[in-house]
Amino acid sequence: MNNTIETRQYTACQATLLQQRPSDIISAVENTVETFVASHSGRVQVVYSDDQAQALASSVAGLHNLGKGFGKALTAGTVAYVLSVSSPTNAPELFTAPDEIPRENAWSRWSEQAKEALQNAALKELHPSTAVARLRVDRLATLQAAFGFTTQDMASVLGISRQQLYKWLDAANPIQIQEAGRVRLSIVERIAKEWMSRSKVPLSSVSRENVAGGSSVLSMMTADIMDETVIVGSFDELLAKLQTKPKTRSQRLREAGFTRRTSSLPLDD
Amino acid sequence: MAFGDDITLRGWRTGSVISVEMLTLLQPHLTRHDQQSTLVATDDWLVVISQTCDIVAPKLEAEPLVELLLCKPISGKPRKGQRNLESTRYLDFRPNRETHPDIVLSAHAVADRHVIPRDLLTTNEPDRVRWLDHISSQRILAWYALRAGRPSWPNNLCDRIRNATGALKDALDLDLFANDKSEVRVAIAEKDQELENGESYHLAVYFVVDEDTWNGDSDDRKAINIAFAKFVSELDACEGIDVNQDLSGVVPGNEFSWQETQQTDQWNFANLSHRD
Repeated sequence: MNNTIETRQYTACQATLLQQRPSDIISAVENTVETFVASHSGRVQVVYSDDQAQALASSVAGLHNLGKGFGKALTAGTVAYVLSVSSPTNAPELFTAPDEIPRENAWSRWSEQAKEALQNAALKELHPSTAVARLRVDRLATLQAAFGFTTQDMASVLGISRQQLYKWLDAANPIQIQEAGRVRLSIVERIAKEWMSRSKVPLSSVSRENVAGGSSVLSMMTADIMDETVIVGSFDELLAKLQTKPKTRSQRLREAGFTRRTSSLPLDD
Repeated sequence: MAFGDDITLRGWRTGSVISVEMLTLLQPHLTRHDQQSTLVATDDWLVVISQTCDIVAPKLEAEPLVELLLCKPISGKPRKGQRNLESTRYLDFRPNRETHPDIVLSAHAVADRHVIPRDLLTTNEPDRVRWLDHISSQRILAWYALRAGRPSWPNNLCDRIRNATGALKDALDLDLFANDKSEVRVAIAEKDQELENGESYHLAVYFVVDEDTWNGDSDDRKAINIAFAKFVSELDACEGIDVNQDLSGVVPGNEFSWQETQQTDQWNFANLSHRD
């Protein structure tokens, strides 16, 4: 959740919607009214409330796709609260707009109240950012599955500190990844996809092996500027190295017939 | 005929159930000091839980007693927190999925445990309709073994984690853990110390992954990494618990050493029971 309520993305329609019923917004995020949530085109998430008196139709008209794509019908008593969820790694933002709001203390008071309510809501389990954070953790888990790197190496690849990576991996932490981080994350995801299309074995098995250029793929991936083409280009060579890697003791044991004894009792559910 | 052979021929073994006809004979032995005699209802299962080798020992003096567990039927499924050895005190289990698929029993490790003279087994045969299947017998033996051998973490550590138990169980709700493809191990720097409020327990957490799984399906590795992130996040959020994330991680089983095994305990929710 942002610490400040952004004002730049405001539209007249959203201003009308939000300005007129500040207490409703606060109630909605505090979960004191029955609400239901729908996402629209992956960019806007709307919290609808059923027990409000004000008609929504005219307020909704200016928003793209609003009111579509969810199972519950809008009624005259439905009110919508609009959150931006434009990027999967971003925390949602409440749309606001100063241009149609009277320049008086009422706005400041509402702004403070809404911000406080949203911050409180951020602490609750059902906060909208939870889904966003879970998606972030899911993306990172995909990378860890592909690479098998240690936390330190994974953090270096992503260009962040270990502590930052712990925060990224905590779904209860509503962080917002900066633009540079998002770009690097996307590059790393493409590299992971390329590796997984070639091998089931984590890249860590051969990531410290030197390739033709004289450096390891890990060092290339932890460089300030990642050359995606060179890194992916080294994968065939690494795959060849993987084939010639000596077997571990446990692998040789298994091949000789010394397999594991299953010890666990089946679950009694 | 040797004493043990007589018992063997009658069919006694671990998991045998005392027949209703035999209950009157046993009743005087199902007593505790200063307490009324334990009443056994006809639908209760009074189960022999000594190991078979002890039950059929050739000489009476070698094993003069056998242990029984009084199990009472409950409605519904085995209860969360009392099934699958999640508690060292209570056990809910299905006694025999083949012969009695709808029966669920419950027992207390101490209050429902009784000891009778072994020679009473030569007077009767076990119940011919009811007996524990092999898995249930093994489960009860494993339950008592766990009770005796668990790490038994400090009470103050258990208290601090208790509120997160549900979320931690959810995090580990993966077939990979049930199928021995992964194991959670935890190192506790303060070991058995009962720390005061304001002092933190320092933990390192490892999800050790079967080597074949590690080198195999990336979906399994992803699921384990998600579980690890959730588990560590929940644990670290507990007040007075500090997870050393630099040392923690998801590691392949062929790289997790014997030395590290010695420095860690296997995570088991039964370890969160208070010390007796």
